[in-house]
Amino acid sequence: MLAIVPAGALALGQSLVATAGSWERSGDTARFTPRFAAVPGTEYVVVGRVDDAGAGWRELGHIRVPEAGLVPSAVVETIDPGIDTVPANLLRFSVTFSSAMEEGSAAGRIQLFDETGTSMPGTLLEMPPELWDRGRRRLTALLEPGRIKRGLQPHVQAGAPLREGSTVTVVVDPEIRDASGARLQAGASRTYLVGAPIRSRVDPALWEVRWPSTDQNSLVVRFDRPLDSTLVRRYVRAVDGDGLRAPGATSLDRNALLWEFTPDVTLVDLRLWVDTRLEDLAGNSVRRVFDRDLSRVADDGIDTSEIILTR
Amino acid sequence: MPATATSTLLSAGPVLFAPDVTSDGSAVFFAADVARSTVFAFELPAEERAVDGAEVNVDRLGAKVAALLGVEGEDAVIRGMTVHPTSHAVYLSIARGRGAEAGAVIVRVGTDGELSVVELDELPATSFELDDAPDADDERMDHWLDGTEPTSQSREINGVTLTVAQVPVQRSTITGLAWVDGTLFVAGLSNEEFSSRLRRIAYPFDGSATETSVEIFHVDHGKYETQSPIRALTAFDGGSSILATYTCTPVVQFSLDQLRGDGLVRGRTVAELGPMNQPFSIVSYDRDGEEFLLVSNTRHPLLKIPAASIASQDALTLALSDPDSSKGVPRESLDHPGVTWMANLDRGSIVVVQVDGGDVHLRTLRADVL
Repeated sequence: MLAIVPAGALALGQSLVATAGSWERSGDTARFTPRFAAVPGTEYVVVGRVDDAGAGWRELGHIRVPEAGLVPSAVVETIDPGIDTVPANLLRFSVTFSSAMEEGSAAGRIQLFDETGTSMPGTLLEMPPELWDRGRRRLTALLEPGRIKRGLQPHVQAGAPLREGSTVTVVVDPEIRDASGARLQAGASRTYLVGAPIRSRVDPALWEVRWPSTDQNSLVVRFDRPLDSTLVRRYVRAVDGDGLRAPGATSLDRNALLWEFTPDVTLVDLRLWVDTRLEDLAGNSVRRVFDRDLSRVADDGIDTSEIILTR
Repeated sequence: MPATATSTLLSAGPVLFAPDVTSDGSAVFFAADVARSTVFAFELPAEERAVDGAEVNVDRLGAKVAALLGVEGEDAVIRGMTVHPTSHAVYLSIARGRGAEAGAVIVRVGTDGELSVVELDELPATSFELDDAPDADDERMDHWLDGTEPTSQSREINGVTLTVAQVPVQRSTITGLAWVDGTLFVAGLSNEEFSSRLRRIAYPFDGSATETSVEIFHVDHGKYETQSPIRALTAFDGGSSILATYTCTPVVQFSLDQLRGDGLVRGRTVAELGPMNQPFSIVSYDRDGEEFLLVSNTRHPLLKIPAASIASQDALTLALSDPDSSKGVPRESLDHPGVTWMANLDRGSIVVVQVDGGDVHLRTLRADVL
């Protein structure tokens, strides 16, 4: 009886489990077709035993599947937030890569370091699954929400992940693999100043909105605080009087503070549509604060799915 | 939307058997494909009924699964586990390989300890996708002019060359599946918003899902209220209640009746599990005629909570610093270290994945040791 196993499986001894696949015999030749593709760089062992449960497996030969000759090509393009100072109750970082990445290889490979260069264990949520976008280019890393939220035991016992007045450095390990299995060309890091926490709802009424006029063609919005840039892209939109998306070009500055929309055609009934799921850097949305202080009336949530600003 | 699935799983995630089999013995196996934000439902042919008292125990499960799949140990990772309602075979969802070879495999472990690959592609399947597909006109209408954005590309639109950045496509990641009151519950986490929508999806899939926003009332001060995505949940108390664990560690009870209405639901926080720890898996079981819940954790021991105590537990309201504070329902730490995934073999025994001595093992824990 023949079997093929990865070399590490030999440690199973008598309880060896054969790799799934099918055997074809022709004369003196036995051909094995594995159920799943062999992994480049892996050593496989052909083992045999007489068909007797008591007999041990005997090694008959070793086969090394060649390395795939992977060339590192992916790089880190950005680390977000884009702004240099983040609130002490920052909820998430995100890392955008230049190409699609392998899901599952990022665990433990994004780390935070304090101003002395000391690692800050337990500050990022270290649980699968990894939070990738559909294209697997943008990875979201949540700061431990239980440590951010006031009143919860992780916050009480271990404190908030970030300390106001300090710095925090996000470090991306080059061993994170792209979709081909190759590591990154290089690691990356970005250091932020930690500012005051933000504990209020995102309120579009506080935004500075300049509507298109004879002086300017575009709709310009200055937010009252830096927002989550991805959610701005999804949840802030110029619409026409029917609520349909107005054709035009939109931009957002790197700090996610200044939003600008230049319509393709002049619209008299241009409006600004905001989905109340829009969040700032600390996870406060238009709908609710991230952790609500029940004694503060200003913290009360609102129960509406959208807000439309008009001229 | 539901569809007859072309069903090779792209990625491994939580799995679950519907508890009831059809008259011909076939069972419905749900598998979450995390990369596609999709739940697949496969119809599995009948399996032989387990003999009474059958257990599933496999030493060195990790090494054996890796050998079966032709990879070294670190390239086979368990992402979900469920038990066949009739045969009591354990079905494991495995992330196999890396790079271009990375994929998802379902491995079956029989009560005889034999491992085999489940050939899903040959089975009838339907699917339900959680996220709406991006609008077809998104690219045309939503052109972003960020010269600073890494995803920017030059593109000609209406005769004008613009630097266009595409908005990354959102993805809901599935963290837990549960069967409650004849309905599939899907817990998930968005890669974008920190939202707590819990989806109830009727099976057979008809395209409809009810989303519930589950708001929780937190411990300590009675001063803060907050929201967090649910990670895992289980029904208890005859299916009338749900115990859920959240991404920010509390364990929260809410009733099924609450979920039937519209609007926000405020669950009761019944326990907190402390820092540097995440609840991993949650199951209910019976011992000596009494119901208990088990919560496995990333760092803390296996916790046992009497179901009866949850009903009588007031929502936690006092600060920890307060001498009258409570950490919630009475709970007992059990001496079964390293337990991660858990699933019921039946009401009186739980099959667990246990980390021990550098490998993981499949072990059956009967109620008398729980």
